[in-house]
Amino acid sequence: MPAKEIIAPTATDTTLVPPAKGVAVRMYNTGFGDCFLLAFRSDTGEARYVLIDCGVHQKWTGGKERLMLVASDIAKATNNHLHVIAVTHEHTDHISGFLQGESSFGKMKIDNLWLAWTEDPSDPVAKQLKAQYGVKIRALNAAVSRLKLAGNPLGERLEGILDFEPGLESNQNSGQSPDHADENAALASTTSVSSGRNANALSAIRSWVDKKLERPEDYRRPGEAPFSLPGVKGVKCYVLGPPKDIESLKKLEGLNETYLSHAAIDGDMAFMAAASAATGAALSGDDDLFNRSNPFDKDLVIPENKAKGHPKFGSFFAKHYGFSRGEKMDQEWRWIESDWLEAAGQIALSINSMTNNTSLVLAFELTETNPPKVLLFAGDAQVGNWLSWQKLTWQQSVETGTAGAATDGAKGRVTGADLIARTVLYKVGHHGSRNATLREKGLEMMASIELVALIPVDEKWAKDVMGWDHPDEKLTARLMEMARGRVLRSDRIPESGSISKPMEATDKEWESFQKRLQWDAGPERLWIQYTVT
Amino acid sequence: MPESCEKRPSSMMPQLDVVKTPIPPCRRLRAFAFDPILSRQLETYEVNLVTIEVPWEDDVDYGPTDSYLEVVDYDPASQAFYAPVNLNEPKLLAQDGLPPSEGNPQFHQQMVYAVARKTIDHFEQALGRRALWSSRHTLVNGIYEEEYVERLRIYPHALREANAYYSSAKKALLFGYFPASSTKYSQDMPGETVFACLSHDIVAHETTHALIDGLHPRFMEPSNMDVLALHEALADVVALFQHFTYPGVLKNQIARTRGNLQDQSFLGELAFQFGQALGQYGALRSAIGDIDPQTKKWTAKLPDPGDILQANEPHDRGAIFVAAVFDAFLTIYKSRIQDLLRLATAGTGILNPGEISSDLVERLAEEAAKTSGHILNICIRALDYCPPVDTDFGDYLRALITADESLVTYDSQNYRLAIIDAFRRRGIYPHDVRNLSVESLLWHEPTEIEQKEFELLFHGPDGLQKLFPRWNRGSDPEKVFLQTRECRRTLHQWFMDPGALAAAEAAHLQMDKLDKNKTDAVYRDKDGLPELEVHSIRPARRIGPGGQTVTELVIEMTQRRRGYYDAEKQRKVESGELAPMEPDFVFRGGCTLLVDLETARVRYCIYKDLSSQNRIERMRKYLQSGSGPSLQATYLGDPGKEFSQFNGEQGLILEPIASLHRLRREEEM
Repeated sequence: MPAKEIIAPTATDTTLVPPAKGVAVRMYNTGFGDCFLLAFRSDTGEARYVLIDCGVHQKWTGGKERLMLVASDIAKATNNHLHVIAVTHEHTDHISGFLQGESSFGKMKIDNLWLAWTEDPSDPVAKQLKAQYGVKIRALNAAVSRLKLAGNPLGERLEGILDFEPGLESNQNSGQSPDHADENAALASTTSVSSGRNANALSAIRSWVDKKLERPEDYRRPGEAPFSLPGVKGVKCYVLGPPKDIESLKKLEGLNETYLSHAAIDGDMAFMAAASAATGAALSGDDDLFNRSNPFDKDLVIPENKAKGHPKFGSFFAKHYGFSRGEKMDQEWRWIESDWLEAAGQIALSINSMTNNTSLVLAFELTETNPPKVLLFAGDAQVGNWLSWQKLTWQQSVETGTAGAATDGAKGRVTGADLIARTVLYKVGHHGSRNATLREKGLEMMASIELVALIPVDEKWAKDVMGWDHPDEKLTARLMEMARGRVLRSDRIPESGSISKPMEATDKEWESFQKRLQWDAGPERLWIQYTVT
Repeated sequence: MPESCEKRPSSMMPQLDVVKTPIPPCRRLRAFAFDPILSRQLETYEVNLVTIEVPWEDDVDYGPTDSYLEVVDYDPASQAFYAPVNLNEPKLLAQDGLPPSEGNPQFHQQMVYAVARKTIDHFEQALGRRALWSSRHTLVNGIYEEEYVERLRIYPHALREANAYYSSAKKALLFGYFPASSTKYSQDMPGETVFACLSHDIVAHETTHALIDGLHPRFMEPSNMDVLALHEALADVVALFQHFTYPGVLKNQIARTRGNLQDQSFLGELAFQFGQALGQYGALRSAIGDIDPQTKKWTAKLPDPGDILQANEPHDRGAIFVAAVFDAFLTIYKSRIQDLLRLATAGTGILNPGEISSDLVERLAEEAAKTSGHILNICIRALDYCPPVDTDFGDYLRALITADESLVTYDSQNYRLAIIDAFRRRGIYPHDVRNLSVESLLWHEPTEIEQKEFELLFHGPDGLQKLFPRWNRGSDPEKVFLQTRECRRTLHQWFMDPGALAAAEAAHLQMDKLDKNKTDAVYRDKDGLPELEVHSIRPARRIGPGGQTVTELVIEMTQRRRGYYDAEKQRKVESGELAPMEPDFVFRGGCTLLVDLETARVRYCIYKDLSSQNRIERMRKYLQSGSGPSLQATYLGDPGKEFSQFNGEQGLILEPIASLHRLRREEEM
């Protein structure tokens, strides 16, 4: 194999040089997280850089050091100039690097910031989402602390999920006290909501960027007219998601903010009110909410702290349940102190999906190829987001109508489905989880014989440390089939000068694929890069 | 003679007691037949009330607490206890317990007790012995100790979510409550609380999980895709047919729909309604039929043998199983009422328009209730005829047929044909039979040579008595527990004797001795013999419809082998190239022997080979493929995989039923 001659990343060759036509896509290995640098060439021959996300999961060891390396490499590769930063969504594994690599990013020139409409502070739907989100996070925070205190293994696991979210720092509880009253006191002191790392990362980028986001139209909305990259002809950007329609965003049980002030309690509110009350704090400042969320009238209730001394039933409760640890050893194994808190799992998953579903989804169309090739960056979009792309249609206006001719028969119309069908590079959603790549209305539609898939993932860490199925086996297998072996992974940056041919590809296919590949041959194996022309 | 009366010594006074008050045959307790939501509608108000008759016990204490159950009403989310009900209070005895009320936690306690106790009663009737709960295993100094669990605990208000489950670790049923959303339950005020413990179906369903766990603790180990599905499906079948045994519920429907006798859809519709009340439980009935989105009418779903091939998720597969059992029920019911219809219509079989006579309603309801009772019995009885591990739907079909055949030799009502046909139409077949005739579905009967070996092992009918626990419906449960533990030890000793090698082989157990310095994947004792667990010994005593008594001893034994996801690693451990290390999963084999107590002959030997390569391969594939595209599995763990790890003794406490029920909920989100 002549691979060694083709690939020439040397220690001094640090600038990312865009191809004459098309785009070079560099996937950084941040650990467990997303970071993609795209290099285009402008009409005047200069390089134009777009950075999509930069982050690592909080529990990934050595994340900060690694992201500092990544950030400094980005600075070198772009000569300290990013034309666009696109942040898909506010999860640590997509955004933490901006703070961790602040020493590099802070010094760079950054022209534009692209954010989804869900970040627009003046959008009423976005506002509602954020408010609901805050309430849920606070309640989950409380539930996690409680679970951990009770020694329930779910606590750790939920923390792993919540670590994606802004505004939560892991609660370190020192020692366990036998009495509930003490527990509550201990909890109250550990559950103060932290300032929120991810939110900080976002405001840092907002402060660095030249063109400030001020008006609603500065935020990216699906279906807005395709736009070009500054100074680059032959590339069109389409926004596919997050959907404007809140239902497809949520696909989750409704939590209507207005209920907070009403008598009726809906959805997960009853649970969250109790979870908060268990830590001695009222949810969203509503002192009576817990009371109203309880199933029976007050006079039918024997409060927990009065049960032991109850004149008539105290002995029944002591015999059949027991009160404090150690008092009746033969009862403890049947206690149900933390079982009810396991419902937090569903809420945590729903909130995680919710944020993933607010992912900014971008498609870059190379209009000078025929049919126009598409690069699809799906963020961590999940079902609702994916499905909404099917409904999108763009009418080509006269001045931008060059692409119209290529979409054969569609008479100047481009649909979301067209873009999926013409995808030649797919950034696999959510580190290859099974619920973030739609089958029939997604992967199976990607018909191009050139298809290449990029998976940012650390399988070993996900499976061994966190017990997560990233990437999913079945999805990986199907990607290998669809992309004829051309699946690049951030945790599989080759040690040697070439990648051995997988069985899905022919010799010829593989040879031409390898010609388009480059990777960091240094000890850190920071990135792998593929060029689409 | 007042004088003599006065002179009578005081010790004579209790003479009055000569007229003994008879012990009441049952305790009558009021409950909702469906769930409280139906009591809001005038037309269903009456149907929804049922008085459940549970076996009488003198000493029902606060809780209620009896010799099977203890209801403890602690609500940790609300930081509250609720006062326990006293069912022996005269005022409550006089009026069949508290009247149904959603707002009174004591009624909730009464209802969970009544429904759960009724379910236990159905199991005991079918199995002919006292029900025992699964014992608790605690790790003491590295050895698992078995601890007797006297009562199943019920927490009516343990969770604040739309969920309910049986916790095998706590030997408890946990029920949830949650605010109804106005869209899903149109009868509710938004924000009004819905209680899982007030749904008859849910209580019966969860109690069944606990009862099956008491019989077959290994049925919660998901070694193939049917194991958990079977747990769910049986729980649902019991809940459904327990419902149908209340004739009052049926009468109303039959009168209202005039029986709808052409297609019997009223029963299907009723089954559907039972499941409707709380979304997640309705799913199992979806294979019977569904509401047509256009016509808004309930329509039966035509069976398609291909469905089972598409269904990979426990609930989807369970739904097909439930539908098959329901089909069998309909076929039998239909044939049982033919004569009634002809009688009522002067031989034409075609009913006149208008309301049908109340006598006919009465008789039809009676037939439906009777058929339900039979189906319920057959399904429960089959639990004694299952392999101890790794059961799939096909095995269960064979168990159903064998169980019924051994009790009712002459199948005059064609029950067995109806069952086989229903399963065939839903595509459920055993892997290992050549055709679907009754004869070939019956379990394997040992050969004469094998019988000889068993005879030697058991020392004939007299020796067998040593294995026979005195265990009938009235036995003291703890004594039964201790006695069976002794019996199990005895049998274990018999089998581990070198002279029993041939008998072990006849029972399809692996009993090869490995040399001291050699290893393989099988778990072995210090002498190099495969470990053997005598899992259960229990008598099955039944009285058939012809009055014949059948007494069999059910013996279950299991063995285990280390399983690895990496096939190469597996091969190396098997061949002794690698020393056995902590396995990825535990693979089990074993057998169930049904021994005739009179003759000491083994009537059936139902086994799963420990050495089967096919089976270990199937289990590996199943565990690796996961249980479906769910976020829960990605982040909170896959119940299948983790349970097997649990059995690899990594000390995780897991609740497969809880995960299973929560998986369902996620799908609905």
